[in-house]
Amino acid sequence: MQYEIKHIHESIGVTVVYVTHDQGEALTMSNRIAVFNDGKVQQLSSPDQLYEKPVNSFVAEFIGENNTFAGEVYDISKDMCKVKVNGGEILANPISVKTKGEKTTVSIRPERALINPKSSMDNNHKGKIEEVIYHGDHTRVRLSLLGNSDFILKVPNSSENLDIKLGNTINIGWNSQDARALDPK
Amino acid sequence: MSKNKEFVKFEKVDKSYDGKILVVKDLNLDISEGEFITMLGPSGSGKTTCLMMLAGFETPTNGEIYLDKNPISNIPPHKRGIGMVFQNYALFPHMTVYENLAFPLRVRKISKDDADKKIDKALSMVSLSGFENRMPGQLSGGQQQRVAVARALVFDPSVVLMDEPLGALDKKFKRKHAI
Ligand SMILES: Nc1ncnc2c1ncn2[C@@H]1O[C@H](COP(=O)(O)OP(=O)(O)OP(=O)(O)O)[C@@H](O)[C@H]1O
Ligand SMILES: [Mg+2]
Repeated sequence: MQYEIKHIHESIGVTVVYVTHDQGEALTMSNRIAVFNDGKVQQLSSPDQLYEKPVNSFVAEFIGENNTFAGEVYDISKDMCKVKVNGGEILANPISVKTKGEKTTVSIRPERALINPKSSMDNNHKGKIEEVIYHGDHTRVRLSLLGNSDFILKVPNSSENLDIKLGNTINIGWNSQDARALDPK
Repeated sequence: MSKNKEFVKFEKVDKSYDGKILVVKDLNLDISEGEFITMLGPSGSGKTTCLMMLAGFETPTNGEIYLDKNPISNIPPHKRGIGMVFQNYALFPHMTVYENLAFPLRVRKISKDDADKKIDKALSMVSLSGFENRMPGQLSGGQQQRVAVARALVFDPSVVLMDEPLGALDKKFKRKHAI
């Protein structure tokens, strides 16, 4: 039915204003999505922008999954900031933070964090595997990393056999561009 | 001809039902002609209220809504060319599928010949040709939803508002909690 509505829209060109609280529906059907919370539009973007570039913690949390770290900015330039978190330091993309000392929540999509990254990434950390769940097309891995014991990774099952075993410690990397320093939750 | 980028325009729209709490706050939103735009948000965030103001069942407390550059308050609801699928997609239970679709056409004084053609076309769009004489109670939930979509489209509206048209299917809840 989702696809039927989308096809009808494409074939007759009518303007559609669609309401849902199902993000899957919204992402597959829309040209643009307005995310509402408490009577206010939080973000108005195309589906890919919304998912990949959430502008605040509410949107990052509401759309898709994300790994979060609460911390404090201790150094900042135009396109990079250093955030002190419980177990160490993260290099992040300053989206909603402007000055040293600000509290922030850093958001990283699970698919942006890689195991044993081949190319160099500016964030590298050790994580301990706490849980492994097979999902057919991918394996979902829960790690404890930098004080966060709920850090989720999605490993495509086409990947070469990685050392994903309960209790193992593995190297995790991500790019600071993909770690978005947003408003504190 | 270029498409109107401000086919629907919410300008500084606030809405309060009780005169105290704003359930929609300073909404500014331009919708292009032919666009598919979705309002997404948790329960009670003001989505349905926005649709109701656009359809004309509620009026903004502050601000103005424009449809093709005209302030909507100047256009009577049946002349707005807006089709709607409601949150509970209620069909008229005592009317056949054909009669459900004929209703918005009769309100708009469309001749029977034209109405029959439009009903054929709308039912074929939702893959329900041949279901004209069924009562809503004789349809599955998904089929009822399609009839509701067909009814919203049958009079060739320029804008269709759909409020959780797939909401009654349990698929949504599965998806929402899926990982
Ligand atoms: N007719 C009304 N009178 C008074 N308050 C109302 C009325 N309709 C809605 N509200 C209130 O306005 C707020 C926004 O409601 P609305 O129906 O727009 O939310 P929604 O985003 O569509 O939620 P849902 O996803 O649950 O359908 C809610 O707090 C609701 O209780
Ligand atoms: Mg609603």
